[in-house]
Amino acid sequence: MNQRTAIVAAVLLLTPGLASAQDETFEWVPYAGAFVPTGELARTTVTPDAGIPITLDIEQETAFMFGSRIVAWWSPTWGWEGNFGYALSNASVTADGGVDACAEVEELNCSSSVWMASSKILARWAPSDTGNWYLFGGLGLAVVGHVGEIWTNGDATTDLGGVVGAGAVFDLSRRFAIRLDVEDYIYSFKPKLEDDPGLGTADLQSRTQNDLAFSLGLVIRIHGS
Amino acid sequence: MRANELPPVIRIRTLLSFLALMAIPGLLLAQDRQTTASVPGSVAALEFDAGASQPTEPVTDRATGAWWEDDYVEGMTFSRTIAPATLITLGLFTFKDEGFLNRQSIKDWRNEFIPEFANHIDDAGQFVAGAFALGLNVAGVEGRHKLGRATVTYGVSLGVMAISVHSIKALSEVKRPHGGDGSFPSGHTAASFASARFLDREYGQKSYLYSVGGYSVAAMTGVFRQLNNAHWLSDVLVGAGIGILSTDIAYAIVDEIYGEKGVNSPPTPAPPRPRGNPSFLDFRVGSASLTGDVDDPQGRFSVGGGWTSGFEGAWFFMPWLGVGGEWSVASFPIDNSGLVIEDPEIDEIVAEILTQPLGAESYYLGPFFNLALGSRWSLNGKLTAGLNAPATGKITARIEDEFQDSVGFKEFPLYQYEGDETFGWAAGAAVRWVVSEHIGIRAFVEWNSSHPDYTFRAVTGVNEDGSLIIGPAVERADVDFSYIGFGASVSAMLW
Repeated sequence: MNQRTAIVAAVLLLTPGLASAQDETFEWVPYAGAFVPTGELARTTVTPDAGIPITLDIEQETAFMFGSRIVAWWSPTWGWEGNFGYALSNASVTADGGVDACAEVEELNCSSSVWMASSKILARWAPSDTGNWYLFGGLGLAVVGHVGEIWTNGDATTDLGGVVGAGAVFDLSRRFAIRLDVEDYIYSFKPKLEDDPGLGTADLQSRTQNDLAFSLGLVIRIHGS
Repeated sequence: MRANELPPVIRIRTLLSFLALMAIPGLLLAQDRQTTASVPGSVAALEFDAGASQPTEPVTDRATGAWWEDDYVEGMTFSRTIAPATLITLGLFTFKDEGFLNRQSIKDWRNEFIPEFANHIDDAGQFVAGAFALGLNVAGVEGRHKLGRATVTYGVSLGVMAISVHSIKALSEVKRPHGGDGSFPSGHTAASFASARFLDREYGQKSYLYSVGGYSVAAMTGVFRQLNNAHWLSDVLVGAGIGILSTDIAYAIVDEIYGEKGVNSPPTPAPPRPRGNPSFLDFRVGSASLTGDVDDPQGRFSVGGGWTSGFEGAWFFMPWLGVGGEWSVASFPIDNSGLVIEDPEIDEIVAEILTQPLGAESYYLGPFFNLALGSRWSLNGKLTAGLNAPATGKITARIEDEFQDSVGFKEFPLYQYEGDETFGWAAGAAVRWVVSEHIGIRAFVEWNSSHPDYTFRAVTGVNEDGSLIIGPAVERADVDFSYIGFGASVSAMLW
């Protein structure tokens, strides 16, 4: 790549888009936001040596998330989106009486993260023909995975589910736009724990999860021929 | 590559799989043919306008409709992205360990039929198509772009692919089937499909065989990643989708940067030629239901519905008659809920009995038939026969968690069942709809019949190296392993 090409490539991201019709357009949408689980993840009972059984409630905490989407609009109305998101969401484990097990139990390391991969069909609608914004909604398949120290001895911590979402896009130019999203990841979480030093061995009950994701993204449109 | 150039060490199973895999890329070929024709008119419009590098232009000054409605070239983005979108969606759908089309079933099949398989041709398959495309360019075969621009495009494609794949690998922490890290998605498959897409977009307009070859190598890479137990089906499908998208995004980026520079004149479109005979390669997947009586008379085991998948292809030397072959596999989960462990001491320590599915491979040859019903629809038939190879399976007891330490192991094999290779035959019918010049989809139904002899042996112990000590036959039975399969398939039409 010569110098002119490098300069053009750098400037490209700072310029408005091209005015003429294009054969294909991709939207790359890096985003950041908040991951908000709405329910308890799992419940298990452990029996310490010569002790009384203790019930532990495991939850995933609200956290910062980030990710990236690729969007291809197939028609003025319909499109497809592939997405991968990652939430820095630690787990919290609460024992009977509200005891924070993550802090009290030395063997329990509650660091964890959540990732989401999804494939969505999108539909968009502009309330105003001459406005520079539109609304969109979509639904599709999603895989949600729970990883990190707390699940080191766990299995079945990744599950297939669904995702529904809606949002709005505000054009800055033909190249750039701001995108707001709210998504609900719906899936079943059914971990199996084996010889975990903090959580013991358990085949936990399956629970339906609704994890919300609120995000703000920058739409970068790339036009090809 | 012609079949007679394949090294002899490649087994018949691999050969059939390789040839028939060409049917999968047909899906990719079908959607890209129409896009190549649009290149001449659109290139001029894509030249980068340095004068436009001013602050954001207003987007509200429009008389009629939103800008995307004014400018949208209907169908082009769809035709380019429907294949990767489908692959990624299917990949996510298979990201589960039970239920319809789960990733675990492929691993079970692999471990059931070819547990020792190891062939690392998939390492080489990653960049073959890309290197071939650049090699053609160096050799003077004119593709869509000149060498410099093509090289940059391929480099951007691999860069986008590598960043995407390795970021997701690192963050998702999915374990491989063999236990290693970094399973999701498959980097080998992503690289091979990125390379295949590159070859397709550079030379696909000259001949569809370039595209068929590239995608076949890519598909083979994905299959071998699974056969080598390095990846799940979900990893491979999502990897394939990411690879294709990476190349398409690379083209879009480079188009914006380079404009017309480095673009070769588009080839003169070849005049349409009449179709030849309907030779094809086909990949199918469907549901299967055993019709033979394979349930245990003592009520210990019963077999229900399963699945079937396979490849078939035929060379038609007449419009209605051809010869060909098929390789297919069928697998049926076994319900062992009727099995009762009579020894109470053993029963106490056993958590559950695990029984591997009943399965068989079919290697059949025979005549194939075609009855055209207009330009797009046809009725297909086949009557094939050959070798039926049942799988060997084990019945295993999983030890209760609290006894695993004292017993010294988590699972213990109880029985082994083994079927003898035997003669089998199949008859099938299908309705094909030709989607585009080289792609068809079919709905099929088939009957597959064989009568292998099964031998059941008790496992009497385990050697120090982990191998099983198998006792004498405890039961021998002639099993009617006949089933009806129905489902859908995709065909690469080789008129």
